[in-house]
Amino acid sequence: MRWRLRTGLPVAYLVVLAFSMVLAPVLTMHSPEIQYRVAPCAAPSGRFLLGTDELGRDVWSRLLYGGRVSLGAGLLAASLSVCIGLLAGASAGLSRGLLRRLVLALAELFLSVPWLYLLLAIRAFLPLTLSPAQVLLLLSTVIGAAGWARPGRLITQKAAEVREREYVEVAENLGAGRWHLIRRHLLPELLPLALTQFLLLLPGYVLAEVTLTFFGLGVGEPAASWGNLLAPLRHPAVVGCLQLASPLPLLAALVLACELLSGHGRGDY
Amino acid sequence: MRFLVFVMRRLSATALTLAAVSVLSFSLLSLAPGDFFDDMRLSPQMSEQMAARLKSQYGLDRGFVERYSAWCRSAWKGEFGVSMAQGRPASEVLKPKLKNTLALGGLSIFVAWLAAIPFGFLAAVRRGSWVDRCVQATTATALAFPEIVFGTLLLIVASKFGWLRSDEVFLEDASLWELLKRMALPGTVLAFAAFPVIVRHLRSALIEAARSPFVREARSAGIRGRRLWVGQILPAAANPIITLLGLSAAGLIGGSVIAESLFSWPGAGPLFIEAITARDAHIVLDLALASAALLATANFLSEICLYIADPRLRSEGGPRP
Amino acid sequence: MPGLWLESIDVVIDSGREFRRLPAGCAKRDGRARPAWSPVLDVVWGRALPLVAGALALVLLSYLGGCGAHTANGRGGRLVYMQRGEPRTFNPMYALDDASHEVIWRMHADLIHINRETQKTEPALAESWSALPGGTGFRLNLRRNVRFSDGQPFDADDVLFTFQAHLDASVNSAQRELLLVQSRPIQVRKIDRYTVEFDLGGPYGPAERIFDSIAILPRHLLEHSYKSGQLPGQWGLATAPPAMAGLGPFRLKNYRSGEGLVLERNPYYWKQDSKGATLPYLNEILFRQVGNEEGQVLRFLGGEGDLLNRVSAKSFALLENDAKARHLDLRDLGAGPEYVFLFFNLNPANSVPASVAGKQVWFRDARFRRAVSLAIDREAMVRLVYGGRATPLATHVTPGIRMWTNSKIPPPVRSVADARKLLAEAGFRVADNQPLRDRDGRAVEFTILVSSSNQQRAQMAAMLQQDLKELGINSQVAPLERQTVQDRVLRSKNYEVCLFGLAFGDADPGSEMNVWPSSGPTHVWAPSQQQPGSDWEAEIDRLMRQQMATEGYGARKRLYDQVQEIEARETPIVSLLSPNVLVVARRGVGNFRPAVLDHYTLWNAEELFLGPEAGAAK
Repeated sequence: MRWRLRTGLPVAYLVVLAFSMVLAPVLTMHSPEIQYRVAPCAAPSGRFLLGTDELGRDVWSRLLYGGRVSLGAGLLAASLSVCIGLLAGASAGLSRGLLRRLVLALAELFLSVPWLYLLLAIRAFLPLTLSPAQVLLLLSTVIGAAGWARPGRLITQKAAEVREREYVEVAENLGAGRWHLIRRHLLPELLPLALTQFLLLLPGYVLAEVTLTFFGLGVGEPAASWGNLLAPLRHPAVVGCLQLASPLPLLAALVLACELLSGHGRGDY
Repeated sequence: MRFLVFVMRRLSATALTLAAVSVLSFSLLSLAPGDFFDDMRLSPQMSEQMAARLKSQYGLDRGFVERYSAWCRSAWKGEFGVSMAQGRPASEVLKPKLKNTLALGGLSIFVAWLAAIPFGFLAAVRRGSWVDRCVQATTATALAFPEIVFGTLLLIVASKFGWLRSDEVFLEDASLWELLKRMALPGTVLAFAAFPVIVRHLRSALIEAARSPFVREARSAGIRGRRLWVGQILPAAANPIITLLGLSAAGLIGGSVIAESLFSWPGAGPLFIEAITARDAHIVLDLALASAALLATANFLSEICLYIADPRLRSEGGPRP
Repeated sequence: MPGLWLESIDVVIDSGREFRRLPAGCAKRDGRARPAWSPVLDVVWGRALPLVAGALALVLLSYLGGCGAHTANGRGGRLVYMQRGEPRTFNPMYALDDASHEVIWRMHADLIHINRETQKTEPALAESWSALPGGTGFRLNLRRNVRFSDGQPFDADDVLFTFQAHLDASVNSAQRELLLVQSRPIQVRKIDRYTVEFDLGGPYGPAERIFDSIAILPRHLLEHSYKSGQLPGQWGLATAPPAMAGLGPFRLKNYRSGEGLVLERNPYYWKQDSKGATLPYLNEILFRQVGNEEGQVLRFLGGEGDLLNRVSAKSFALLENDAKARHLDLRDLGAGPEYVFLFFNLNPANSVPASVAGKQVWFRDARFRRAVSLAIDREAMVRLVYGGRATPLATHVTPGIRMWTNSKIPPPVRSVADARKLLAEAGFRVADNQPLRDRDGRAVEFTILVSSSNQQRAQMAAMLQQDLKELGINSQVAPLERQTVQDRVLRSKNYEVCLFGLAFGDADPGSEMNVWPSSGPTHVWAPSQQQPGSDWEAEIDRLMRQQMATEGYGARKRLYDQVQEIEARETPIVSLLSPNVLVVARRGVGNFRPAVLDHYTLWNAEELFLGPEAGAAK
């Protein structure tokens, strides 16, 4: 019973989250952009489920549409990181010498460089006709691609370890090709690790969007995103408009869910 | 002898990495449009001619290779370029700030580890029990809080209780007690951010080590309880623990931006953000390099520790990278 | 195990299960009955707990420890001021940022000073002046028996040296441009020890205002460096206080990098109050660097600092709640020198990308621009973005620049109906719920560039988007980093429409000479033009040049009024609003007379004093 709760609840939460983002147009009564200027910072009511923000926009729809952007960005970045990490890790793990050292050195390089600057540069060069959401997706691609190093290193370790196992050596001696080795022996071991990494990275990247917005580098107004919704929280005068903090419990639940699921993957239960 | 070979190999790899980081960072810097003096253009006192003059004075109108080699020469002299904002050598600007950041970061990591050790041990030894689940819930909750939100809340609470008022004295003239008082709040934010990660990893490392065959043998030989955990399992888990210690130390420079900005701690974090927005190229480059150097040093030191601590590694010619 | 990393996934550990299988309270194997949780306790009690407890105790004690007492001894005492950035230099010739100016201007004095409250000139180091015959300049009579902060005497040689250094092109002084009249440097002549003549080469509109903010430097300290070409390196942040001297009310006591600095009273200061007592009243000013506005406000609420120089509308509202309880003096000074506006890319078609050139057809029609101006709901922007603490604008001259506002220009009104009529007149096809189309049937759409670091501008851009929708214009908002925005506007010209902000440097049209003449570098809609792009721009050029060369307030005002009338008609910029200047002080700060010109709160630092109430809130 406890086992079911521990896996069931997080999975259920993630599914609900995903569905509500996809079905956002159905679930909301107002557009996230229309400003009802006579009612800024209105309290929750029948008309506005979570009230309105400082410009009079419906917070409930900004929450859902914003979730699309923030979660989408996080998913994209995490998937990219893990895929590249898997690719690099598998090939590096297989080789014994130069390739592995090269990959690990590259990983260390990628961990040290200030990517904030690259983001600034890319932001500056983008054509003006892109919508803010498209800009964020592009930026997430960059962040995700640059972030392959962390899962990549771990996967390389694991692949190297698996490589040393006897049955793999035997298979190699029997003439198995590299691709066969990867498919039959490495991947089954590596995929669970990759999945765990994905679950661990996902909330981190979603939070990264929030942090970037705080520094003015994320999705700017007027687009809806969780970072934009939370941005006014920096100012202590926000107590008049607390509905802006609504992404916080969702974020916390997301982190908890990913924690629980990845722990299951780690075999902690 | 083998030890020496190992050390030389790692040192040269580190040097190469740092060089690569500097080139990469410098290229990234040149990509973003605008430079320091473009910002000044809006001031009515600044004219085009003056901006041009200042640019050539600082060498901003030369090519990439020229600028990079000028920086390299300056680094060799120990100045590491010049801060365009202050017109002083970059090393002069950075030394006090880096000192402050490392002091703050060092103390926070120390406190975080101290707090994390009992939790990590508890969770690992009592794996699966309600104690373990409590610890996991605590860490998960701590992880779920974005550092910015926690820091802002702490700031608001601190202002309500008047904890922010110890700021009459400058750091250099402050007594140790004053220094600790100043560091308490930003240190809490940093420790809070580091704590759950350390607990989680400690727990995993201990559990993993407890699974290993030689621990099983030790247990069947009758070693139990504290002797088992501290005597056998802890050393077996030394590898990941020392590595984590290294990684904690390495994140000191970049990780403190939020805490330092919120609590006005005069460290490298706010300087980094300001230098990026103002395009003070050499400061950004130097800070990126310092961060990379810290990471490399931490890695290097932890590998040496592992080499010394784990005799199994010596026969293999060193910890496999 | 070599190479064992942390997140390896694995099979269930069995040792824990072993512990649980044994009956609680009993570990059979080694024959002793010990509680099953003893090993953990041993570690915890024996090793970790004392250390943790000690650390926690340290942390707790630091919270409960006493705070530094604020020394407020009535007259005298120390004013605590929180800065938002770090000063970059102490050298008045090279300071360009606000934080440096804040400090420098408490340490130096000028010949003729503009009183920030009255916005008019008054004597400073020059006790009187007269116009030269022919109206080409001034003869200034300097104050006698004045000393620098290190005790050395002040006379005309220092004035001569100062201007010589500023005007020398090799020195690269930031203020050199201000001393060029009609692109010719002014001539300075010493008549005798306390008399100097300035030849401006012709009638100069702003007249003696030219002397404000030119700090008089000590020849005895700097002449040597000037002669050896070392002047730019002097008076940087690392300079020891005795190496600097000024004629201002305070002098540097000590400086701590990254944290703050202390200024102490200048015992040789020349100014006296009405009763003949020497100023300043304060003993010291402590400048502390705090970084961002939210942090400043929270610290102020917590008891630190005596003044807040300029706060946002949100902070002001927050402080208003507590004003009575905390003995705070909040002032809303009305519109300041800043004006926020929308403008269109009017650069020559061959200097912009093709996609932008295509849209410039719409932008160049003044009726289109006026229609956009009519459709914007400025009142809602003031109410929602600034909490009511901003002033809608019809032209760029804000009510804060009192002497130059044109009363004939009516305040801005909003009328979407009139906007639509104008658009129809200009040949656009307007229809309800349909996109606006031009003569060729193209839908009118454009992108508004805005700086992402300014939350309020971003919100204004969002509101603009909705207002434009009512006209059928679909607009996109592109928030970019501030430097990037400036680069696109001033250099690459790759943008369509931009939301921007500028400010008057002084309450005089002379400070707008970079913006309004078409050759100006910050003539934002078409910077640095060789030729004016249109007739009305040529007209504005002529009027601006003429008012700079005309003496007498009345004549200059008439010319500048005409500039504003052209602006209202042609609308090269759509002026939106001016944020009010909001300042806060504790009740005990005496002689607190903030003004809308820089420096809002410390411009009269020599007259400020700390009354008994200043210590009460601490």
